[in-house]
Formats: sequence, structure tokens, C-alpha cells
Amino acid sequence: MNDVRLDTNFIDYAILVTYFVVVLGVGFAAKRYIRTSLDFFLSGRSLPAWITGLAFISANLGAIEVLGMAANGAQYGVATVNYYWIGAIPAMVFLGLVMMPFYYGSKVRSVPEYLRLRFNNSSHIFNSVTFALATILIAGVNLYALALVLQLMLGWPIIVGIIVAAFIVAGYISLGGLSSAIYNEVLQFFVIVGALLPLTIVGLVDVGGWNGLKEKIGGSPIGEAGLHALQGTNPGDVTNPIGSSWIGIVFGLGFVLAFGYWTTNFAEVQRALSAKDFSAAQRTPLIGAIPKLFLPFILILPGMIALVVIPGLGGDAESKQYNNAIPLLVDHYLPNGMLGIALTGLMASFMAGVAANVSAFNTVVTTDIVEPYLKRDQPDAWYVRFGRIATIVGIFVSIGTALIASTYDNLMNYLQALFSIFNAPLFATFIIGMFWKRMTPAAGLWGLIAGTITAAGLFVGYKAGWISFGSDLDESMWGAGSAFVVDAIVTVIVTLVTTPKPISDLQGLVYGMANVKAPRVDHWWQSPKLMGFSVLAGAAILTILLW
Amino acid sequence: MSDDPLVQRTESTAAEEGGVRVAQAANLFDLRRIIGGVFGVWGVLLVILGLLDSEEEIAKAADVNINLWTGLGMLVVSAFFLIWAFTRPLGEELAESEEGGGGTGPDVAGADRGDDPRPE
Repeated sequence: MNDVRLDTNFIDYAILVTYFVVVLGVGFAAKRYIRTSLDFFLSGRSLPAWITGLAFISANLGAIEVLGMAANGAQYGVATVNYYWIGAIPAMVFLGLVMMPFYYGSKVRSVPEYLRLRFNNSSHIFNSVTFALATILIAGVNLYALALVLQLMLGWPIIVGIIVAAFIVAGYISLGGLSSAIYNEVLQFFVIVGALLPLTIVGLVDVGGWNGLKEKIGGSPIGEAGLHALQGTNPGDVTNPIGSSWIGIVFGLGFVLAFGYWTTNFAEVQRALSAKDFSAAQRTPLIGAIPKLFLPFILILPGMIALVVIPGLGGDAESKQYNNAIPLLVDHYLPNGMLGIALTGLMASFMAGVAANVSAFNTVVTTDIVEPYLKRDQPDAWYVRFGRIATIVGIFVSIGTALIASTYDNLMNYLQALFSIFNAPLFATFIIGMFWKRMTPAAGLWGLIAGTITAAGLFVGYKAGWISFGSDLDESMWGAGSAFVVDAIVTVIVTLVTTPKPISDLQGLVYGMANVKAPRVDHWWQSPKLMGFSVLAGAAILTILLW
Repeated sequence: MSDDPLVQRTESTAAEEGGVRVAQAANLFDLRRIIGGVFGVWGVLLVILGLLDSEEEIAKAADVNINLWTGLGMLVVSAFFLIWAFTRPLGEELAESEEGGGGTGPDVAGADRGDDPRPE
């Protein structure tokens, strides 16, 4: 018997079943309103900012985030907050304030489509195909993580867990398209908080509040050093458990990985593109950044609490892996009823991760691959039908990629490696293309290819043992960094020897030529600049408090 | 508006469907009521469980009656969303949208969520 198996009763299952019924109900209700392909793929560009903002953050709140951040909290302590306040908030503010005018203003329907307008068809095809591949691999990671937890907590066989979750997600997305994905993400956000907040409060009461926790962490394996975000990260003298210098944290994590992920990952950007107007699109990542400021308190704290209340956490026993910190804590504290809520919260989070990727996948396959290159000029309804089919096919393929993910023992590292290959070079191409009008279409293509090959090459070389790195995470930071640099160098060289697009073709796509005027805001507190800088200040203050 | 033919095509299909359609899609059906409803049902259930929980179950959760407290918390969240949804029902917001956003009435409901139902 494993000791994480939950003592569930019919009440817990009733709570879980209610949730599934509501989620599918949202899918059916959304279906009634789908008339055009724009409705299906971008919710008719009609959603208010608070909805897209919460969906933006929820799309990222998948299995890896919830289990992985608690695991890191137990393993590295307070320094895990760097993933949020340095590694996410600045990138989200940058997306809202600097990049959104080009994304939303040019009316593109996807991130790859921006490449088609800014550069040419070949860079568009290349990026669409690699992106479709990446989303399917990532959806597979989430499906697999979900099945792992179902097996651990409820004793369901892995394959049953994968298939049940796949059917539910395929059901509500193929019915209601992006609207139903987004509406469910907002609901999921509240359910996840409703599950983790009480768990954290009970844990904190048990260990004697923050002071009690500090005292107990001092006597734990990570010790006093585990109570600081940045102290002990001087280059050459790293004593912080996170094991990286502040240079690595700020540039590797904060710049290349975070900016690459938040600003070019269509699964995220799609939420902002579905907003009802430019002001709402700009505020989407900024509103998302507000809960992101506080998520560490319900994701990382439980990991630290688990470290002091669960004997043997992180030890050799299979069930005591760091990844199981939250399930172990749930089992330790929660009575029936709350147990059902916690179980539902975890399921909700994992489904959000799968759904975000699948809804981005169906959009890219339909509007970026099939519509422009394979089946042009079909009636609009044809594309909606195709989007539904793409959803179901995508889910089936991700059941297959879930089995690939099952061969990795550390899912977080597998995921970071994927980001380094797919997102880091794309970020270099975007940032240069947006700010340098001279950058040529050929440079767009060759920069991307060179960057992707660099990161993929390092990854393969590392896996095959030809090149060695300090750790898996070290590999993905180097992979991301070198993909970014190689992409930038190739971009500049190719640009200098090829012909640029005429400047008139770049209207709405490059810096200084955005299609949007400064949006009218009705209330001073809706000013995107004010929101952006307030969130940045919040992140800075919190980081200093936990220095 | 973009010059790109593919982008234009989608945009014009959407435009043909008319402005009211866009407004309807904006609200689909009221998410605030769904969140309020789900948390309301769960809240009542947890409060009842909390009142019936045995000493042993409460002791498990560090002497916190977590079912009761979470239940009460969920009822507060539920009340917030339901009050928001019923004081500013969709019909009213749609009507305001059609007026063209000229209204200057106090934006009570959307205030603390950064939501503004009026178009730019």
C-alpha cells in the first residue's frame, strides 16, 4: 500500500462530479453562441479584461506549476519565489505594455500569424509546425502528470486516468471552442485557490505561523539559507539552495526563459487576443500579474510546510518524492469534504494545463496551417468544423505524447527543455523584428531555424552524453541562452545581405508604427502603465521583504 | 484593419454577423452566476459537514474546523459574485453597450475587478 492514498468517501466524489458536470455544461452553453470561426478560435474578440486576465494566469497554472512549485518550495525554500517575482511578473508587464500594441493592433489571430505578416510564409510555416508540435508535447506532459496523481491519490491505473481526463477536455473544447476553455479556466482559478488556500492556512496554524515555520525550516535539511530569496547567490560563492548565482537568475530565468515563455507562447497570448478591445487586451497580462504576485503564498508555502511536517519528504521512498508535497499534505490534514475540494482543485488545475495547449493547438492548425496553405477559401463554417476535429485529433495525439513524457523522471526539467527549444529563439526573432524595421523576411526564417537547431542540438548532445552540464536545469538555461544568441547573430548577418520589406508593408507590425492610439480609459485606475508599474513595484517590495 | 486577405476575411465574416451578435458573444452567458452557484452549493455542503465533523476529524486539521471555515469563505465568494451579477445583469450591460459608452454612471460592480462593460 502506498501512504498517499486518500481516504475518500462519496461526498468527495460528489464534489468532483458536480465540477465535471459544470465544466461540460459550460461547453454546451458556449456552443450555442458559436457562429463564426472568430467565435470558435478567439471567442469573437469579445471578453472583458477580468475574464481574460484570470484565464491568462490559469492557463499557466497546470500540473507542473502546482506540483512543481511546491516541490521546489520543499527543495529550495524561499528562493523559489524568484520564478514569480523575477521570472514572470516583468515579462508579463512587458507583454502588456510593449508587445500588445503589435499583437492586438495588427488583428492577427495567432502568434505565428504575426510572423507571416512581418516576415514571410516560410518562417510562418516553420513556426506554426514547431508550435503545434510543442503544444501537443506539453499537453501530453499535463495529461501524464494528471494521471500520475490520480494513480497516487485514488489508485486509478495511469492509462484510465489519461483517457478520462482526455475525454472531458476534448468534450468541452470541441463543443465551445476558446470561450469554453477560457470560461472554465476562470472557474478553475477559483477552485484551485479554494483548494490550496485552506490547506496553507491549516498548515501554517499547525507549524505555529510564519515564525514557527522559519524556526522549523532552520532545523531542516535546507536550513537558514532556505529562507532567503536572493541572499547567498553571489557568483562564485553560492550558498542558497537554489544553486544558481543572481546573474543566472536574472538573465537566464528572468530574461530569456521568462520573456520567451510569456511573450511568445500562443497558449498564453491567445487569452489576450480574445479580449474585447485593445485596452482590455493590454490589461489581460497585467490583471493576470496581480494574482501571480500572491500565488507563491499558496504554492510554495505548502511545499515548505510539507518539508517540516512530513517526515522523510524528499527521501528515497517512491511516495515521498518532492513532487508529492501537496498530495501528502492534503492527505495529512484534510477531512472529507475539503478533501473533495482539494482533489477537484488538483484535477481542475491539470485540465487547465491540457486545455490551454489544446485550444492553442486547434487554432494554429486551422488558421495557420490548413486555411492559408492547404484548404483556402472554404466557407467559414468549414473551419469551425475543422477546428473541432483538430481538437479531438490533438487530444488523441497528446495521449501518445503523454506516454513519451512518462519516460522522464523529472517532468519540470523536460518542460524547461521544451521551452528552451521552442520559445527562446522565437523571442529573439520577435524582439528584433518588432524593433528593427530593416530586419528582412529571410532573416526571420533563418534566425528561427538556427536558434531552434542550436537548442535542440544542445539538448540531444546532453542526453546522448556528448556535452555535460551541471544539471538538467543548467542545460535548459544554457540551451535557451545560446538559442537566443545564435538566433540574434544569424538574424543580423542574414539581414545585412538580403533585401528588407518595403516600409509600407510594416504598418501596425513594428515599433513606432503601431495601429492603435493610446486607448481611452474611463477610470484612472484602468491605466495600463499605472497597473504595470504598480505590479512591478509590488514584486520588488515582496522580493526585498524576503531578501 | 489589416490589409492581409486572410485576416480581412475572418473580420468581415464576423462583422456580417452584426454588432448585437458581438455583444451577445461578449457575455455568452453569465460566468459570474456560474462561479457564484458552484461556490454556493459547495459552501453550504462544507458548512453542514463542518457542523457535523467529529473531534477526531477536527484534530486531524490542526484543530481548525476547516470544512466550516472554508464553507463560510466559499459562501462569501459566492455572495460577492451573485450580488455583482444581479446588480448589473447582462441585459443592462448590453443596453449600455448599444448606447455607445456615453454613460457616466458609477461603475460600482466592475470597479474592483477592473471590468468595464462599456466599449471603447
